[in-house]
Amino acid sequence: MPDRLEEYLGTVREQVRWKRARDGATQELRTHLLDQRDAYLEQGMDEEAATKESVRQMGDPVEVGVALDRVHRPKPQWGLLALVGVLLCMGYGAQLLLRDVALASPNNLEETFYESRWLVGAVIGVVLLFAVYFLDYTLLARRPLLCYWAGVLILIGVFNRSHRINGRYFEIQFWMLLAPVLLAVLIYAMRGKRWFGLLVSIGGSALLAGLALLIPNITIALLVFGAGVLMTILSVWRGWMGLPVKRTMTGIGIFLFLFVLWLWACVVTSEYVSRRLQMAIDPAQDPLGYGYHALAVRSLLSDAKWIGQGDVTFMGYRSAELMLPEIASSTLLTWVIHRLGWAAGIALIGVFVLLLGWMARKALKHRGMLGSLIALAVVFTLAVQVGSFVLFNLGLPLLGIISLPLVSYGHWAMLANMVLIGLALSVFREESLPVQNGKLQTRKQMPLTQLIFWKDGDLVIGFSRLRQVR
Amino acid sequence: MGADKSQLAGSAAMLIMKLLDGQDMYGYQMIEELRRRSDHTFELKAGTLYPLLHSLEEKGYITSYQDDADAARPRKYYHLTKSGREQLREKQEEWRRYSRAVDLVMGGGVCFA
Repeated sequence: MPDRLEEYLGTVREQVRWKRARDGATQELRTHLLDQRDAYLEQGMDEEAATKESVRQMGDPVEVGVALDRVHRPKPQWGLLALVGVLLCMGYGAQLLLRDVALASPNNLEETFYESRWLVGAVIGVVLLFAVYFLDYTLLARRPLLCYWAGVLILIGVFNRSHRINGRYFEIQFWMLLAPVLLAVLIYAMRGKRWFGLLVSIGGSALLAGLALLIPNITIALLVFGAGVLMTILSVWRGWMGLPVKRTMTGIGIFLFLFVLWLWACVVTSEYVSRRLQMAIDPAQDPLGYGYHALAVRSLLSDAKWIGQGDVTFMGYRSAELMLPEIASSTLLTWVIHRLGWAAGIALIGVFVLLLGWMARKALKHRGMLGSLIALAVVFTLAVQVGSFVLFNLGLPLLGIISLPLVSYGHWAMLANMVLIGLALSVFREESLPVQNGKLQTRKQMPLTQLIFWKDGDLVIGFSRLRQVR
Repeated sequence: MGADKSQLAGSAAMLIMKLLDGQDMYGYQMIEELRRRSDHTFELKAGTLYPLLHSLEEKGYITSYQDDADAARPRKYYHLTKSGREQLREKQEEWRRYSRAVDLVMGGGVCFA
């Protein structure tokens, strides 16, 4: 390319302060300059004159660059970061209150509170969040299959090194919270690969869900598989898979119906799962065994006030701190409702609903495929954690709990959730990056005017338009 | 004779979206088409066009995709979205009201645009 054109583009690029946006912002200018120069050459100009004129036609490079710079700036997510900050404050506040109540109690409640350890986890988590926030997530797009398999191998490695506690491998449970993001990368790699891509997406989701079942953790298995199916459905709906939408959605619907039937058959034939579900629905069948947790929670909630501390009328207990196990990590919401009232509990969940709703909206509006899928994976993972925690703390332990993100005590969960939130915020921060991946158009979607059109007096049949584009 | 720059600047977004309403186009094609349809009245500079396109894309009025029919010179095509079509209709309505008002002041009669 002639020096003059490169010089022009170089000046434009220098005005775009966000380095990552420079290539995308200026690539079209390069093509345009060459097209314009070729047009002048066809008109009979010599190369030097054609180059000079095409550069002149572009306009002042500094002005052009400044205009592009104005459009392509990273968007700090102050609102979402503020909500994360609010949740962390609420979490720390709850942990501090638990400590104060435990210290003031005449009973020995030293094992009840972990507020200083919670704080350490939160501080490390915040550092991780910002580290991921400023990372370039689009690096995953360069070798997505390699990233997926590397992630799977890492998870298997963590599985092998995890400690077995109460019949379950412990650390891997929290690392598996990152599995939906891996699936997002896999599904991105399958874009345009039609039925093969669809099968691999579902198969990859089943593989990671199977790993979760080996922990064993049914909640995480459902979370991972559910995330994979949801992202696959979105990819089909948006045309990213290159499949006919209606027919494929019908097929997926049939598959999901059969899957639910199979799941129901597994539940009915598994004594352990059936019993757990029975206890969740009617815990009074085993009040001192499996049903204790749910009964204790329901008793506290039924005696809770709208504002202020509720009563304790369960099995002769005098305080909630004695009757509720693992308050800091598992039953924190129930305890908050008991101590401060329903208003406090609803306010806490309200902030989660606001955060997740906002993130979901941004995820669905995001223009890039990979960014949209990653953000959606994060939202789904957070939502399942919040949902299962709320159900458990309302006396409906239908699913096992993982954590209440940013609020309940648990280092591994805190760090995993901070990484996830940082990743989603990184995606939203880069909303104004020029979109590099393209919209897929199948033959049916392409209007006739795009396939057959006039150009410069010639009738053009665009066979190239029938090819899949990136 | 070219139009006043400020007149073009104000309605460039509307004109670009109108071009895309007909078919997907790439940048150079839009400039040529605008020149042709306006009988050489509008000469939009590329340096004005591309920031405008990127801005419209960021607002969700248009989307883009790459056509690599010519591997040596891949082209980025733009497509008008549903919200872009709604925005175009609004802009067209604004323009009709504006031009009617100008005609009333200048000519004292009604102009059917």
